[in-house]
Order: sequence, then structure tokens, then C-alpha cells
Amino acid sequence: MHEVIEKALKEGRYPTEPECREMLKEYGIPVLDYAIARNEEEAVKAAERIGYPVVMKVITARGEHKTEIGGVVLDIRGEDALLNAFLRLSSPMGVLISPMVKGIELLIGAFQDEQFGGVIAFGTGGKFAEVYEDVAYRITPVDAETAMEMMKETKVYRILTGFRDVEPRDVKQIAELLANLSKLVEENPEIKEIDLNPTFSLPEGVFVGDARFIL
Amino acid sequence: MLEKMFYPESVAVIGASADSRKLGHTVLKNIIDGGFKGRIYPINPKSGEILGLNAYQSILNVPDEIDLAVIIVPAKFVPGVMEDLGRKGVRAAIIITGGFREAGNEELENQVLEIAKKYGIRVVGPNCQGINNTHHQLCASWPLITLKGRIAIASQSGTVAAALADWSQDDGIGFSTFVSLGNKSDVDEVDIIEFFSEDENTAVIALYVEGVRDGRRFMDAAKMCRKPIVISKPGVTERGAKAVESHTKSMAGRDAVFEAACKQSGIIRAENLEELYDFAKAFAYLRPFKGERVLIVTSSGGAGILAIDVLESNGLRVFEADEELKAKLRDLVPAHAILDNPIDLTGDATAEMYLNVVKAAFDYADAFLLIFGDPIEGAADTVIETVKMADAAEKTVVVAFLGGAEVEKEEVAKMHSHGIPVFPTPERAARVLAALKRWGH
Repeated sequence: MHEVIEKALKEGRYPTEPECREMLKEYGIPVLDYAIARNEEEAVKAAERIGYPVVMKVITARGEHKTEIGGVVLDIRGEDALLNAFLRLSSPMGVLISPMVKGIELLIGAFQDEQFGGVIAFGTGGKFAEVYEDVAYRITPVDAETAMEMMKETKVYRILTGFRDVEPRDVKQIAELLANLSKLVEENPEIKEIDLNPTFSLPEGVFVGDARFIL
Repeated sequence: MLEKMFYPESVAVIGASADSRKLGHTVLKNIIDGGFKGRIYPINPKSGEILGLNAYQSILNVPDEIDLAVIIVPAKFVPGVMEDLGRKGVRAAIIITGGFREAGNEELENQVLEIAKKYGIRVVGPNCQGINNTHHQLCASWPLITLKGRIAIASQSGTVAAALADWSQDDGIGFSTFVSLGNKSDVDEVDIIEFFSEDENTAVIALYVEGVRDGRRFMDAAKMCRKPIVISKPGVTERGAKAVESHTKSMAGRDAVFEAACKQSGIIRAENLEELYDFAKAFAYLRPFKGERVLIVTSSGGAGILAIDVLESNGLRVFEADEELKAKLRDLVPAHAILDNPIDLTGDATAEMYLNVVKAAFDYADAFLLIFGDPIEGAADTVIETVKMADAAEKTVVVAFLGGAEVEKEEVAKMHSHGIPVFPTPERAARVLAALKRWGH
């Protein structure tokens, strides 16, 4: 069990997004650049380093869907908007600031199934993911080869390999990500659910944009 | 480990009855009429004689070793019977009796299971329709079917298993063993896969399950299995999953996860009962399909098109016939035949034409889908010849026959008797070919 999970369990809470991100990085899963800001000054500095436009998110240890509790402000283009958002979202844990990016939105996730144990999910992400239902599943352990087969079952795979004006992406890198996620799931069965939605596929690579672990 | 369950030398029927309306009578009668070669002992508290056999008051009174006990007494007496089996040294039991977990009586089922564990008795059921091993002439079930075949049928629903058994009988291909799993208190899908993987009389395992108990063990067993496994598992919708729970108290689980498990362990999933039967029938006699190019030869244009759509949407290629192939075929077929793929021989088709077309086009295709859409006499002989050729070259032949009335019945029976499966619609034949492809993958 990873120390992040152990600590959260001991404290009777879920891991915060920064904790989830640290853990993902340790497993070789690339996450979108981010900074934690505890006061206005730190927020301004972070946004300047990252570069506008940015996204600001509440930091919570209760595993909620952050958008559903109004905990996300998108497309912040300047300092005024940034400070306004900070006022709304800040807590003693601070806020999370990340670049606002546009790419192919992927749904990447995992959960513990009662009958089969760890399961990895991959498909079309974004706001309407549940409507499109373009998701493939595999039971862990999932290696890069199995991950590739799984990706090929989805419609979004066709887009990732280049469609109309969409630049082809490095699908092998995404397969690696899924294999690494499988490793994380196998080594931390205490995590009941992992939600990496959205994960952005950009021309320069794949990056997790949001992370939520349910214990 | 289940050898004594499926290949016993002696069987006791506990709850055997002289009353022909009772299940205890039917089962004993079917064991006798099925021609069981071992010793049969009816057990009934009233003793006397049942169906010409001496009945014992208790299994403990039988002066012989008992390999298998078939239990058909009211549920409340089952724990007592199990204790007797334990003391007698019986290690395999089929509990046909219902009224356990499925009826809310979980405690009674657990009690039975505990006794079974204490003595090391393996249990099929309770709440099941028994087993029928045609190769051992042991029909501890109903209806009585004796035709020997290659398909092992195991099902959580007795009716589903019986339907498959009926169809295999109608087709004249039979089955190897029929197992009605019922509540699966002990023997479950994993035991079935492990046992029939090694059973020399079985070529394919057809399973109907409403839930699996241990997903990982199930996947491991399937991966190790030396025979193809075809599975039908309902409970796809939320409502369906709920019905599963009240039927056999199984957890239907998330369908997408089960689907993934099948893919990852080489199990072919059938979407419905018809497919379960068709795929099992195909896998029992045909080889996995590793190629891609399919040539359809038909006497009916419509039937050919119905097949194309299924094949193409399943990733198979109904390639277009080129000029070279057309030239080869022109003199072999009626003047008005359509020489594209499907090669439509029209209503003037003769059995001979099919063979000639396959011979001429042999190198162009990896699989041949032969559709007989008219009363074509001699179809069986042609197909037997074609299969011989195809076998030698490791190519696949799938046959559909429809619209052929009496001729069809005769020809199909002949093909089945030669171990060549025939399917009643072009779509079903095409789905079979797609399943053979998945198997090959």
C-alpha cells in the first residue's frame, strides 16, 4: 500500500488531488503541470509561471466531482479573474492551478470489481462521456499490448491515430500510461475507484488533467 | 476429482419412487432405460421393489460401495441424507431437490454445504436438473437422451441445458455431458471447465451462467482450458441483473467487465441461446478460422446478401471476384449466374456446381460459406467432398441450408451424420464463421 493511501485511510478521508497527482507521477503517469497556491501571492506567481489561461480547482479530501460542487473555474485569463476565483475556491489546503488546455479528451479510469478485482477503463472522455459510452475495459494486470487492443476497441482510437485535421498521437504512450495505471491498481487494491477524467491527449503527449481516488 | 460424479461405477437414487408421477421415479427410470452399465440402488424408506430393483431403506444398508448419490427427497431431509452419505463414504452427490437458497432458505443450503465439506463430498446443485453423461450411459436427469456427442453442456438453468440437449438431439449430433448446476453451492463453472478440459469425450464446453463466483479463478481456468469455451451470460440490463439475483442468487456483475474477462481468457461469448448452441455445434466439429477472405456460394441471391452483412460487420472480408476468377467460373455455372462474390448459382443450381466452383476458386479464399437455398439433391455429398479438400488445406467450410423442404431435411441429416454442422439461416452460418474467427484469434 502506498503511503498516500495509508495516510488517507488512517485519517478517514480520500486523497486530495495533489496527493493523487504525486502518486500518479511515481507510477510514471504524466500529469498536466500544476501548482498549489495557499495565498493570493502564490496564486498570481503560479499562474504567471504556468501562463494564462489557467484553470483553478478546489482541493478537497472528500472525493466529490469537483465540477458538480462548483469547485472548478475554467479559462482564467488574467489576474483579476484569478483573484476572484481564489476567493471562492481557497481552503486551508489552498487551490490547485493548472494550464487550460484543449486536446482530445480521454476517459481513463479504474475500479475494483466485486467478482474480477481490478479493472481498467479507457474511452472517450469529457462532459458527455456517459452519453457516448465509448469505453473499453480490461481486467488487471494490463500490459501495454493488452492496453493497445483495448484502445483499438474504442471510437476515439480512430481520432487518436489521425482523423481529418487531427494530428496523429503517440498511442503507444497512452498504452504505457494504461499499463502503469494497472500497476498502480494492482499494488493498491484499497483504492475502489480511480477517475482520471479528463485526460488530455495533446500533440506533445498525453497528460492527466484531473485525478480523483475513492477509497 | 469429479471423476466419480461423471463416471461412477455405482449410483444410489435417494428418494426413488414407484409412483410414475414423481421425479424420483423418472430419474431412476432414465438411469435404467439409458442403459447405465454400473450398479443401481434405489433408496426409499418403504423399501420393497422399484422398477424391478430391490430398494433399500437407507443408503447405509446397501452392501456395496456407492460412487454417486442422486438426491430427490424434500429439502428438510437433505442434511440427514448428506450425513448418511458421509458415513457411507460417498464422495459425489447430485441434489436435485429445490427449496434452498433460491427460496430464501440460505441457512439450510449452508448446513448441507458444511456437511459436504466435513466429509469431502462434492455436490452438484441443489435445485438442479441433474447430469447426463451420454458416453457413460448415465442419465441421472430428464429428459432421457442417449445420443453421444462432443458438446459438454453446463447450465445454471435446467431448462436452458435441456433446450440445448434437445436441439443437439434433433440435429443428430448429441452431446457428451449435460450438467444442470442449479444453485452452484459447490460445483461451479470453474470445476466444470477444469473437468471437461480433460474429458476425452468432450470437444467444446457450452456454458450458461448467470454469475461467476470467483472471477480470477474463472479466468485462470479458462486460460488453461484445452477446449474452446462458449458462454452465454444474461443480466446485461439493470432489470436483467436484478432478475438473475432472484433466480439463482448469483451476482450478475457489470456486463462490460464480464465481456472483458471473456476476451482476456479466450472465451467466446454468445449473445443468446441460439448462438450458444450454434457456436458449440460449430466448435465441436470445425477448426478455428485464421484467415480473412470469404467466398460465398449460394443458390439464392437474397440469402447471400443476408450473410454478407453479418460477415462484413464482423470484420470478415467478402472479397470482390476479379476478372481472372470470373473467367475460371464462367463455364461452370448457369449462363445467368452472377459471378461476383457471392457467386449466385440461382435456382438452377445443382450440387455439382457448388463443388466445381469451390475447386476453381479454391486458392482465392480462406473460407467458404455454402448456402443451399433450394431443394438441392446431393448437397451432402458435395459438401463432404468440399470439406475433405478444405481440411487438407486448413480452410474452413460453413454450410447453411434453407428453403429446401424434404430434400433439405435429408441432406442436412446426412451432413450431420458425417460431423458437418449445418445452420438453418445464412445469418446464423455467418455468425458462426465470425465466431470461428474470434476463436482463431
